[in-house]
Amino acid sequence: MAEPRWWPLTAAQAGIWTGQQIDPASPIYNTAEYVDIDGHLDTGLLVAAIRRTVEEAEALSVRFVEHDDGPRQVADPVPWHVHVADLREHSSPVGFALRWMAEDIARPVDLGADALFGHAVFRVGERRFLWYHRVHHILLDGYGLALIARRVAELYTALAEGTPPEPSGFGELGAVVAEDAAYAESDQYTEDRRFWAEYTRDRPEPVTLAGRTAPMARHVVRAEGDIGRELSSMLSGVARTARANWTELLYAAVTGYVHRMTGASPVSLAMPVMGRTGSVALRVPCTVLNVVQLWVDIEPGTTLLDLMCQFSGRVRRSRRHHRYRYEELRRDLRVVGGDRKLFGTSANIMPFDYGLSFAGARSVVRNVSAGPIEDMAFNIYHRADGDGLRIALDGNPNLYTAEELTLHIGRFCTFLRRMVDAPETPIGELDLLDVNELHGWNHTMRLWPKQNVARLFNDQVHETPDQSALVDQHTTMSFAELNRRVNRLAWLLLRRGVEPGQFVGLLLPRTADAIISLLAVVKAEAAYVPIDPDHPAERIAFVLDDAEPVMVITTSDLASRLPAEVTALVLDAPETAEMLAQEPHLDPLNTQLSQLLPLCLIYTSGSTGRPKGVVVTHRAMVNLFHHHRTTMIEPESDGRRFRAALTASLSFDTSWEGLFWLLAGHELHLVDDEVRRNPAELLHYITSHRIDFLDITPTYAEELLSAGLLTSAHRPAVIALGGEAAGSALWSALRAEPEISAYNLYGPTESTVDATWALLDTEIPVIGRPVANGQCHVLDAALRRVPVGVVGELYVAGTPLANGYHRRPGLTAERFVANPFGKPGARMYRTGDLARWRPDGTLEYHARADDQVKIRGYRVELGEIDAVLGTHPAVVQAAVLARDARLVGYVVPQPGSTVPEPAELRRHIAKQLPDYMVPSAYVVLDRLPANTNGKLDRAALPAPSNDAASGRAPRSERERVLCGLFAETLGLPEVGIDDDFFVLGGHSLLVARLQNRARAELGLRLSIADVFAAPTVAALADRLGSSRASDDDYAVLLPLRREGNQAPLFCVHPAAGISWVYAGLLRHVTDRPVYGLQARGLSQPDNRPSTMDEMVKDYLDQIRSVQPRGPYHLLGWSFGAGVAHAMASALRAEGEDVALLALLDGYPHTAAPHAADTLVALLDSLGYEPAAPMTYAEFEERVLSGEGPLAILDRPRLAALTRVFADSLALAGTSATPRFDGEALFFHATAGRAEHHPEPGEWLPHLGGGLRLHSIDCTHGQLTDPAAMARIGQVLTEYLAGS
Amino acid sequence: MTHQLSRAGIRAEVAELLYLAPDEVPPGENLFALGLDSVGLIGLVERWRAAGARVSFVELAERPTLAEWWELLAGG
Repeated sequence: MAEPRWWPLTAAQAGIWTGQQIDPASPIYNTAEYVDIDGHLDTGLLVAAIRRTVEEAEALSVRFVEHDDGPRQVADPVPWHVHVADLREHSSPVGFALRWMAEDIARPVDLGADALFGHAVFRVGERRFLWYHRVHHILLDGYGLALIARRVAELYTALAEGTPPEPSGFGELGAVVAEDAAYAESDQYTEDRRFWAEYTRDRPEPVTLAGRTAPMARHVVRAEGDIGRELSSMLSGVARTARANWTELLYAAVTGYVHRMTGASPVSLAMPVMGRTGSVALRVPCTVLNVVQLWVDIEPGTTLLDLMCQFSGRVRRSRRHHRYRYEELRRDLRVVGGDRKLFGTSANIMPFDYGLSFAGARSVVRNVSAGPIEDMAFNIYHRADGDGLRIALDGNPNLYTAEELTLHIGRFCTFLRRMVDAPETPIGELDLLDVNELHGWNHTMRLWPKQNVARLFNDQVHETPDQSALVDQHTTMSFAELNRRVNRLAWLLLRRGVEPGQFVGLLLPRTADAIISLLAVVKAEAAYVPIDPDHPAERIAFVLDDAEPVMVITTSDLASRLPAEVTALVLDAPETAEMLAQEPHLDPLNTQLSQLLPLCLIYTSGSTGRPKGVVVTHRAMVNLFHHHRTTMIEPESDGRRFRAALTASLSFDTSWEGLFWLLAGHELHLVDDEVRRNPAELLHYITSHRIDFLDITPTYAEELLSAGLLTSAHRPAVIALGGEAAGSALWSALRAEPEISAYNLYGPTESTVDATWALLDTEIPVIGRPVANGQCHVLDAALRRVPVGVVGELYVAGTPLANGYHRRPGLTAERFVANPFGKPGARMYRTGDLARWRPDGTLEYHARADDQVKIRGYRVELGEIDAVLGTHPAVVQAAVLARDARLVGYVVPQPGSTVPEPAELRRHIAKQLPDYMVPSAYVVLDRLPANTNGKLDRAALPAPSNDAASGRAPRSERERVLCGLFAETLGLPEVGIDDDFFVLGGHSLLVARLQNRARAELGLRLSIADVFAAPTVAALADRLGSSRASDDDYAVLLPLRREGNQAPLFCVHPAAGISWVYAGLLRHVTDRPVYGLQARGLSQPDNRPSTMDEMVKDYLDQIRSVQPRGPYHLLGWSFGAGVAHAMASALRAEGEDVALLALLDGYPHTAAPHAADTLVALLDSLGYEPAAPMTYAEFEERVLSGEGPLAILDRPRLAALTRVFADSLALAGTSATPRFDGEALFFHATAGRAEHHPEPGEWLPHLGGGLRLHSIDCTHGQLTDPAAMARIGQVLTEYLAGS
Repeated sequence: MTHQLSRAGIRAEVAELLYLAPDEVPPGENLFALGLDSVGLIGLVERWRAAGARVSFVELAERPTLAEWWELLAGG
């Protein structure tokens, strides 16, 4: 029998083939449509017409086989049949048929074995039939599908009418393949490639409506809508007058919409192009479709007509070059794989209006699935019934829900009408909002009793006088007792002349007296001003000066902090105690004071260098109390008495989250400073006191979780998060706890503690909905409301608003602005936070609009630190930036003066600002970068270069791990062994974390004393003994971690033979032992393997010594990838299971061309900076005195390693690459790749289960750097959890 | 009915679509290179078929010059 005919793949097919190999079980490349036929039909004839058409179309006869020279398409028809079903008896025939199609399309096909298409004919009525046609995109594109449909209709008509059918006219598949090959060799190809290189030079980043990217899913989510006949004809008319066609208008409209939704300009759009003009493929059912990227610039005055002009200009300019494949362009631009997107939003407007006739029966073609979607695709079809256009909006389900897509369609159509109505009005001036979108989300009105805080407290005292109210480290007090003490102090204040509305300062340690004083001030009708004793004297002086309190309540220890002119009431002075004893314990007055009086004056960071005081009213606080009482406190406690912990500083308004529980009759624990600042101690307190409620920052919550909150014997029933954005890991962790109700509370002090609230019941972190009687508005720069999903600045309004800033009318007017959505005279506060509405009416926090940052939950204005840093005598100019959650100071020194030391600058700032506002690192600059307006350009400030140790690299494995733990704890990319933990931003909370991590990673029990006494890695290692590398470090089997519940992970060395390069994985792969396999030549230079097989056998013996039976988990970087693959194949040959084969940018071994310079290649392989050829002495000098993984070695060891490296190069390719029948995880280093670098696809012939590709944006040598290891560790963990 | 499709008429319709004057469309020039796209071509095919010409999108797209279209449309 003759060999079946075969063809190589066209470039278009090869792109699809590769995409399918990345996830062989994905059905994403199935495309389908159905033809809705209205009329009488002979099902048998239709089946015959379908069968004959399939026989005529060569492309439908092939399957795909892998071959040594690449994949081939082989003519080898597989048996198939047309599914025929009469659904007339069914209750919902069409619904049933559509469900059947949805199920059919979700089934993956095997390109090598299955029929790659399918047909079904459903009778859904007496005179109505649905013919469904599914095909893998590698065989046909949309045009190809249309050719098939047209031919089936033609044949059916001929069969039905008994006339001889015309020939199909289909061209040969071979002609398309030949044309494709000829193109790749042609001058046109070269010219096209040059064109796109030039064209894409100023290519903008793709824009996405989701504001993020995500991996492609296995299915597509779709929403559909119609553009009615009237609007369609209007837009045709506008297009005609603008001398463009209607499709160009629609493309322009999509870019206009994306621009308004994202604010982006330029807006880039991907446009599928038919790619067949002038080609033999015009007559061949096959896949040719290409995609091109186009973009438009949008300025404030740009109109729809301008956009059309730009768009059609770009299309016309590029049209001659539309044949150049986007897959090739991707490679040219190095945007291959991973999260790197070439296109973003795409729009496909299909003019193929094929109303087919089946022997007179009319029909309409409906698309079911148009193939894979990176982000979002606007598919716009001409409706064959002449009734306008149909939009199918396809989205990547990892980015969009069907609900969001439906909203987009509705809003797009509304906006399209507005654009078409006014094609010469600037796009930016048209209203984007569909007002119904935001309906009701701000309807928060609730009526509460008109009370003040003092009255709330009194009511509770009378209700539960004998219940415990307040617990501190010394005492427990009942409500009655607390009230008596509050009353006596209130009487004393009144007797000392305190009047309603005046300010009374509180400078107190964290004891029950602080709460008593706070309530006493309130009962005396005054407002309290909290002053944190931990703040520097200058800051305290500023607050006193600004607030001018009539009196400050303090203790004898702290009184010395106060300037002499301030009137102090010293609580623990004997005379005060005497006076208090004389005062009555009854309520001082009827506490009917006005709700509008200030309750407290809370200072927050100010951008211009001085803090600002926010005047918070009783009315707003009482409103929030009732909100929390009805939405959280009462539903959660459900009649029981809860123990609530107050862990916040009383100088912040968040302290009220705890105080509310007291006001609601629960027991409040005032947790002292020692305990609240140490997560382990706080956890102990929570457990031993059985705390039910806790309000903490997300940062602190993460600390508590890593200290074991979720596994402790007692867990709080309610956790409230607030103060900063909650990360998604924390969100998911808390959400997954059935016994804990967690809330996220958002709000600046200006909106009285909380403006919004959310129960953690959404997939992703949100800040939730407005609190009772509060409103939120997400506005654009012109103060217009923006639609759902669009990021804008968040304004809050309503009862929660504070009165404004104390003695700062200008600043108050600037931030508390007129509220155009409220009653006349209403105000709203501009938060400076960027947020967006979600379709469910909750708000999602996005970022800051200004220079305010949050450091460990503290609100910090960078400008305030700038100002203080600038006052240092040796500094002319200063700026501060938050990088990776820590502050970095930038200074321009006074000419002629010596550059100040970081320690000196830290001292200078610490004198005036709280510790969380003191930058840990400093950078000296000649001048500060400015933007075009002459303003400080913070984004252009360089990263501090002193992140890493100026000095030495780790001397041992333990030091290496410790450096990693320091860096991880401090949030730095790297830490050297001589870097001081505290200098780099460490604080007590982080020491606790370091302790936990050292115990987990190294089994080391560090005491806090150890860290304080030896704050560098070097000192710590010396203190703990054994810092030098020992012989064990070179063993063939190197235990990186021995403990763990799961099967061990074995990591095979790269060509240099060492495996401690994998130490960075330890902190990301935490559930299992990790072993490195190292070259035998390191420890036994005379016992080196002479063949690859020998090496593999040796390593298998090694891993079996710790794990006798599978399933095995193997990983290898570079050269090690080939070894790991060979080991996996050998294990399978012996019947063992291999559960993981991870290849870190290593390729099938080939007999390597002799490296020009082994030493250079060796350095290169381990990620050293590129080096010029050198002598061995120079090499030795460089390696042993510098940083990097080899600095630990001694001279003989380095010589051994160099030999091992040369051996590896020689061994590679000494035996054929075997075949492993499972799948491999491949980590592809995408940066800095040389021209002829191998591709991951080279593994495919050697893998039975295919390749799962993960791209990492770093060079090959950087794959074991912390950032890459983190990503790899994460992928491995997810993979292993799923397998 | 094909008599309605005169050479001058065809040329005028194509030229209008491309925003050119009729004499700016040389008979031998590739129309796609002059700015024709598949949407425009579909419009032309629809109109000419409505006027009685028996041509298809494919036929016209395969031979995208005015000279060849004259032949195709006259031959139909």
